[in-house]
Amino acid sequence: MVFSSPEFLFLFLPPLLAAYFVVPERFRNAVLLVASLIFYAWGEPVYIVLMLVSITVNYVLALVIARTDDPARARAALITAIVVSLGLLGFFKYADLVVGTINGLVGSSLPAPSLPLPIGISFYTFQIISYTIDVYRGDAPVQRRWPTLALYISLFPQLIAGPIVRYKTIAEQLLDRRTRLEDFADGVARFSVGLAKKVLIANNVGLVWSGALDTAQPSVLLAWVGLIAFALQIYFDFSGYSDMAIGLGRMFGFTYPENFTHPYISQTVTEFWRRWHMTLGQWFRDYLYIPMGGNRVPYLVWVRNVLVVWFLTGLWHGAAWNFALWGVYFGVLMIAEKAFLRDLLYRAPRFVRHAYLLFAVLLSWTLFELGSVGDISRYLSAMFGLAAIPFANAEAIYALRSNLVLFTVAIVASMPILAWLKQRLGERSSVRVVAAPVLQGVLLVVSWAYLVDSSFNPFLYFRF
Amino acid sequence: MRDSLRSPFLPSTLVFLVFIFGFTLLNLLTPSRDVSVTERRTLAQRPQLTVDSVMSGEFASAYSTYMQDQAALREPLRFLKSSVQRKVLRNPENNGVYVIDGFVVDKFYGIEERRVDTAGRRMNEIIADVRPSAAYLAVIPTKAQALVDGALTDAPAHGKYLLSDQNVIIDHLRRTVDASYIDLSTLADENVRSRYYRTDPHLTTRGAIDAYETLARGLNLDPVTTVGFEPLTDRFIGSEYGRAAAWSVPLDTIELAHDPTIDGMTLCRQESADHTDCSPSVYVLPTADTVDQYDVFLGGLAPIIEITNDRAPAGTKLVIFKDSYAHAIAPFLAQHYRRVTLVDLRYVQRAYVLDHVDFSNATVLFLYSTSVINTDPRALN
Repeated sequence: MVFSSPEFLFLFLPPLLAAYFVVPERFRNAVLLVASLIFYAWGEPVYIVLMLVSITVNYVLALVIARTDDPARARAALITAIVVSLGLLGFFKYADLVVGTINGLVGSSLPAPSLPLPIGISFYTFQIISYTIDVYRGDAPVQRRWPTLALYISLFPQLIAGPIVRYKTIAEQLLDRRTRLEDFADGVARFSVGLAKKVLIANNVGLVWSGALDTAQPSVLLAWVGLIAFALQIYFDFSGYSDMAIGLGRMFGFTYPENFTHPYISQTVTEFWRRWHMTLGQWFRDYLYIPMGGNRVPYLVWVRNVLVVWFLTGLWHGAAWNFALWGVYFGVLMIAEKAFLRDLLYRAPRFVRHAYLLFAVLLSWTLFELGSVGDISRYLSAMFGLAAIPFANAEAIYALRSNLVLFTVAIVASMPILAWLKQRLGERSSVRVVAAPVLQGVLLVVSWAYLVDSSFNPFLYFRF
Repeated sequence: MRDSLRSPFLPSTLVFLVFIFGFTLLNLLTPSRDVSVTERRTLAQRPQLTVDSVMSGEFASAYSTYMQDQAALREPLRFLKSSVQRKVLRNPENNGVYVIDGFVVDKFYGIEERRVDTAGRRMNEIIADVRPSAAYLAVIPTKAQALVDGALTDAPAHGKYLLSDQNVIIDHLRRTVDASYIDLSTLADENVRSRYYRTDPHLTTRGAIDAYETLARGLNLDPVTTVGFEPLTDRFIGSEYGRAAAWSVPLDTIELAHDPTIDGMTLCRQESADHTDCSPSVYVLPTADTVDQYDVFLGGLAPIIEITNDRAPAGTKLVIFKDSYAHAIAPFLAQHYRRVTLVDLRYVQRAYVLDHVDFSNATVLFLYSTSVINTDPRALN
């Protein structure tokens, strides 16, 4: 089930809200757990077993870790938990890539399992690993009640596309939380904005990108317009989903970490990744980069660490080598920034730094979205005028002209202008008291109108 | 409480709750509908709940489609979306159509050169196979050509609409098909509004008469002036109406032309090799459940349709290879022929036609729209 679907909005959420706020507080977790399992099982009835197995294995092994005084035994339990969790992820997500790569390298013809990817497996696997490691490190208390741990993992707002919420972040909220009107209203506003970002912006700019890919009349301008559209699509798609997840969490009394803070205003790639999918970056930092030694190691070891982390970050996004290349591309840029590029950039005017970042990120999206080297090189050739195509043609001008307002709205919305405005107005200004609910109502109804008139648009990050 | 009223929290919460609970209630109270009249399609119904459908995920996906199709206020919401798209986002396109002063225009973009070339070659093959007494070709432009030519709007179309010049198709067929060409390109001139329906791609009866008069002159016939018109409906919802979903587009009127010759014609529709339906009129009046009222002309699409006109000289025959655009025109052409046979090669094999249609001393006319030639690979199978 996705948040921007009629069954979520009008079949799942209303009875859940009613049940949650009607039952006594002690039953609220039970209501949320049952609802979350229904939410997951709605489209994935078979793979729910996989998630429950993963939860149970980590539940048991975390108890072993917490109860033993023997460090070796605790370590063995931790390693077992990680191997089982990553083993399930590896088998269901990466088996085809491994088999395909072996076949390609040695000329064998091993059959690929071709299993459908269980929804959200990359997200919930990372969450549950964070739990077991935190228990091992003593950073979080062990959870002795299976239903509570199951609720932490399966909680529907963050279950299938993040944010990746670490156990210690919400351990207390799992046991004791209140939803004040202010929290609920914040959640509602956040959800409404997220829905509009996905439905009104991401889906619409996505049409421009698919038009640029499918065109029979390519041009340099159309290639640029198309890639900019994709950059906006993936941002509004994913950050819209995160907004909805954070908003839903707030409605039920949970405070989730932020996942995006206007990444396209960054001035370096390093800054970009502090603003883009922040919870994933934090996970890799805390559970891989720092355990490998972080930056307190010899320079070449640090370089290796950075490349390993970004190689794996890339692969986390998809079981294909273009994703690994995409990750390594960012790793290399970060190494270059630390070595010399950052100093160089900060000697240049500010707009140069923004231009550099946008250019670097735009190029990265070709690696991310176009599967093969051939497709990537064809697209880049079109962008840089290396293909025998015109600079502009009717299709490019039309794409730009007919989507000018949409692009303008998207670009403005990707900057912190609204947050600034909100701060300037203050929470209780009369403009905000009137305008916020009206705007929110308009966004909800118009988003629903677009959904009614559209075919299904799954979230991009569901692939991960 | 007073504090709550001075904050946006309570109104924001209420707006959200009214939205989700309100629409949930409306969805529950709105009875299921079988068809969407404006979209001219059947709507998804509640899927059957079975273990297999649940386990495979099919139930979830079908239920989502069902809820989308059966949403309360579906029509106003679709029209609202179209308005936001065009008026707020200033994108002239909604579901692949433009709305220009109450006139819906399909976005005709991209010339499928190979498809057009194949259509031309197949026409030549047919001409070679049937050896008609005379072969003619006429191509009907769509409304979109009026935008290309600047006949539909005063505003410069360049950059605002994405359109291909249909003359490329027409010129290619004119050059390559071994038949006398009859030029119908003037249909999309400044009088385009009266010749095409606002909500449908086809020609109105007035447009069909204009096309007929040009065709008749091309076929060396004296056009007959039609004497009477009778409105069939003033609430015709064409196939483009639902895609446009624009409040500013009025519904169309379908007129039927009458004169003693047309009224005396009979119609036989060969639906399959062993099933033919005949009726005493070229107009087959729509029944209540007819989604497309344009089907009044010759009863809609069929593999082979035959019009018989006993008032015309014996032995005069016209065979038209065509698409649906020809249906409104054919009764007028039939005023000059004892028998007019209309063949739609999308629904019948060419070999069957060559065996079963009488081409002896027949005039053959290829009468196609640019749209079908360009988009339907089966146009001349």
